[in-house]
Amino acid sequence: MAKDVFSVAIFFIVLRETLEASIIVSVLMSFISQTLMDKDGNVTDPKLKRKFMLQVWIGSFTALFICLAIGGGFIGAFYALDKDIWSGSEEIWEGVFSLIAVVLITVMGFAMLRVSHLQEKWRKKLMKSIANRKAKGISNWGKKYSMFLLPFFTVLREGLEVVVFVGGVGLETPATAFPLPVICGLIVGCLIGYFIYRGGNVMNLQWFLIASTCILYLISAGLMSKATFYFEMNKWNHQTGGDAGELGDGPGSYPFKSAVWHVNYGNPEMNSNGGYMIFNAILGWNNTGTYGSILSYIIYWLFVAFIMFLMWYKERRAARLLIAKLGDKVVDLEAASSHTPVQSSSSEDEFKINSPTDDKGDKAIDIVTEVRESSSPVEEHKDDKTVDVINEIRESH
Amino acid sequence: MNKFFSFPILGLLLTCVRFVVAKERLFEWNVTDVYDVDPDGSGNSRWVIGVNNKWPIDPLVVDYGDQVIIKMTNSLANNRTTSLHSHGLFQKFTPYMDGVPQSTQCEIPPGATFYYNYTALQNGTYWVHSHDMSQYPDGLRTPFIINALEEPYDYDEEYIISMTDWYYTPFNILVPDEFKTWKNPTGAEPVPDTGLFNDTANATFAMEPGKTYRLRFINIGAFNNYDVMIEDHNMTIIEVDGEYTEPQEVSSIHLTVAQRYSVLVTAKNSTDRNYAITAYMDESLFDTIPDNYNPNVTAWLSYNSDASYDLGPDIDEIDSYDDAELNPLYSWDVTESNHSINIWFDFFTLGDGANYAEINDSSYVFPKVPSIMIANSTNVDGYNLEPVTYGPYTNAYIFEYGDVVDVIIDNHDTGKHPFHLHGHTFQVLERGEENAGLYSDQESHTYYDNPMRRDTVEIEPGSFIVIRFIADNPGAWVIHCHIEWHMESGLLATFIEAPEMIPSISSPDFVKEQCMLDGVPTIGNGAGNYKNISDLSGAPSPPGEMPAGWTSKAIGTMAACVISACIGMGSIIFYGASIHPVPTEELDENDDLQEAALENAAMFLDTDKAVEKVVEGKDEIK
Repeated sequence: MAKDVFSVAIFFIVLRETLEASIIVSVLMSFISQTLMDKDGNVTDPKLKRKFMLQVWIGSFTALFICLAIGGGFIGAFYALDKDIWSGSEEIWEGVFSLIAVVLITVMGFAMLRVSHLQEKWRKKLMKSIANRKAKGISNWGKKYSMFLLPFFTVLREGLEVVVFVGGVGLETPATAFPLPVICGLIVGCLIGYFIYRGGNVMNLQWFLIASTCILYLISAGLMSKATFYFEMNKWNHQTGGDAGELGDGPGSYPFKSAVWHVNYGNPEMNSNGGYMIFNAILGWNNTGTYGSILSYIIYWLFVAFIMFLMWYKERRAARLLIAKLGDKVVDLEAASSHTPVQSSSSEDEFKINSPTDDKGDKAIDIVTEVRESSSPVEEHKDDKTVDVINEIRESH
Repeated sequence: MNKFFSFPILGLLLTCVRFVVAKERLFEWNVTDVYDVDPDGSGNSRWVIGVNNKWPIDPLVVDYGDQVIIKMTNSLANNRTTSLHSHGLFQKFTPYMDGVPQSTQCEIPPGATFYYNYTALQNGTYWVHSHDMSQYPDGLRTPFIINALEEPYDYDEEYIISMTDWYYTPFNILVPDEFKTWKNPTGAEPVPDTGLFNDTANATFAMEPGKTYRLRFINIGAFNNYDVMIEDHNMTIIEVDGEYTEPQEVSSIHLTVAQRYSVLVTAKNSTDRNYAITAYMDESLFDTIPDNYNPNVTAWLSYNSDASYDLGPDIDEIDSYDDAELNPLYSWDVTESNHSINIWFDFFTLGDGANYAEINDSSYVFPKVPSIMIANSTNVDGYNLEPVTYGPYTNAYIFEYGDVVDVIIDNHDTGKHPFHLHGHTFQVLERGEENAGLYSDQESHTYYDNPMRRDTVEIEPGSFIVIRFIADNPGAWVIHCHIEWHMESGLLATFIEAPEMIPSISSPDFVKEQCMLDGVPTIGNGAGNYKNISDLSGAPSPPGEMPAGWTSKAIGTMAACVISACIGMGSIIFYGASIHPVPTEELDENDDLQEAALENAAMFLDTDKAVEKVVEGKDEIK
């Protein structure tokens, strides 16, 4: 019952993409506000700010509308064809669609954990986009409406990504299960985006994202198991002539040769078992465990654990390499700070460090910024602070 | 006084009659394979089991009182066995002649000869068929007629009309490959490819105007019921299953497998055209109906061999007369029953994935020793009076000599089932309507005043039947569904009557000799144990139930899944917590970015100025 009205996987996917779009909008809003403020903190031109804001909102909502139209059309067309194309071998298509959903959810889940990086990522991308426009001499029209075009194309791209993911994940989902999770995902995503805009802090979001990712992977593992079971049931139905359905939950209704265990109740395919259907949708419950469905479930989780460890290891290794490189830079900084008359040379170094675009570059910028900020106060305190930071870096190295 | 006086006279009369009329009728049957048989001319030739290299097998016709000897020699290829059951014959005091392997004999081994030798002390319409599993649908069956000494009904001539369903694929292939296999967990019976009258597609019966004919209809098929109608002719029922009835005029008769009817049909005075006899298959028995399937089988009353032989009309629904409403011509004067049993049956998918029938939760499996030989050899300390002695899965019931037995049969299945009892006809006391529920569910029971007697009766789906017979025939008699598929599934029970009297009945030597040739023990209990009769270990048994519920494997694998999920989610939490969000920086005063922003702002300012200029221009024009 609940499975036919609300797809949990679709909810989380829409939520995640909406979150990203919200971050884009909030970054643009913050940028506009800061850009149009003078040194005293006053808005230099309120009218201009309103125009920029309006462009951002129009661009975002136009893109959103287009995505909903495309998504609705895509899903509607799919279900219109559903009876004719898929009716022949229902189980095998359910299996294929479940596998597609597994792949998409797995990729989505990996990305879910890194949402906290989105804010900084988009801030930099947007700034560089603005810089590139100036450098490349884009036409006046493009410049004039950049605050419309920038969010429009960005949200459109993210939105179409949602259509692909939701479409893929929803292949085995009834059409009635789409609207509610999509709407809820949009609402929740927008709310969180608003809080990010107001608070500017995404750290508290991380545990929410971890929990969401766990749920996503539970759903995905269940789909993996179900996909295997669908293939086995398809084979079983062909071997037994499709008559097994009349045997209900008992012997003959499942491929007993490859079954490890079976209970004669809790069949999620029966409409009378509402609770078990929800259990099936979220956790992949089935009243039959075959070698295939059990092993695919276990192997999937071990695969996820392996990937998580691998990503953690790579990031830790990258951090260590970054520290090693920064060791040289630190020496330069130390030399620079000892030669006050060569201030211009120091500026050039800072500029070069700003150029890199990978994670290592981000880390470098972070550290340099901290150094520069701490040098602002009293000169004597500055010297002590700088020495402390350098010492910390050396120790960690 | 008067009654006592008449008894010896009656005995004397019977003796005189037997002396005058009785004769020996020897049928020499050499059971052989016959190849390339295509009875319906469809091009689907197949192998069949015939007699004396001929198929169809000639009907057997004898007179009341004849000594019938069927000398049956097994000449089948590939070491195949065989047997022969005379369906409907009581075999009173000749139980070894009933022809049921592992019940009254062993299978006839290759090359051996079995003499079915008994006296025909009843009259009517019967048939003989192999009782080896899956064998009679492969051809080994034929009608068997016993003429009465004095016929109570007048007619001029008679015809034997057999009806059968027909499979293009031999039954001994269909059973293991398509029916009793894990690929058929619902026990769907293969649909017959076609049907035949008198084993041909072009049967005709010549009619002369004004004459009355007795038509003996016999369903010798394996699976399907037939509703028989004769175009534009009514039929008068006078006999069912060897029992004369009071005359009953009907437009159609319903025959399950193994049932027989005699009807009288008076020929029309006109010879302008021929009339179709149509047997409509009962499609409710089929799980699926193939495309372009023709469920009607046709033969003809031939008045004019020059006229056309047209098919009979298609009929949507047939209003058959309820055979339980028939009354016997000769009533039984039977007292109330003193023994009552209740059996129920249904079909289940067991541990090997195939479908099995169970009677009172037990699927029949042959005992190691034929049942009648168990009774014969365990006649010590009352062991042969204990049902379990005959094997834990032979569904044995014990009756004392002379018991009047009521058998209540509850059909838990969704299909119709023709139940047949060997060694007897029985009264049909009550028959429930379709889906009436169990016998014990009924609010009241009304038995028929003059109950019809027969040996094969149909039980409606989800309903019940009550039959009554007199246990006056010592022996081991099986009661079973006569659909061959269901016999294969184990829908049988064993009725042991007066087991303590069985040892006094003589058995021909060749009966046990053939058991030795088959390697089948002839003494002991159902497990073949003759030293310790109460020990039935090693008795044959059906597959057990398919395991279900939370077995240790179920718990173990479920735990493995949960643990792997915890490992996975643990890794997600570990990695997720190790991600350090990049703090939002204050916007740095990058000159290029600042310039770009300001330039964008300037574009809007320029626009405003441009607009103002346009306005000014208009003012100048004015």
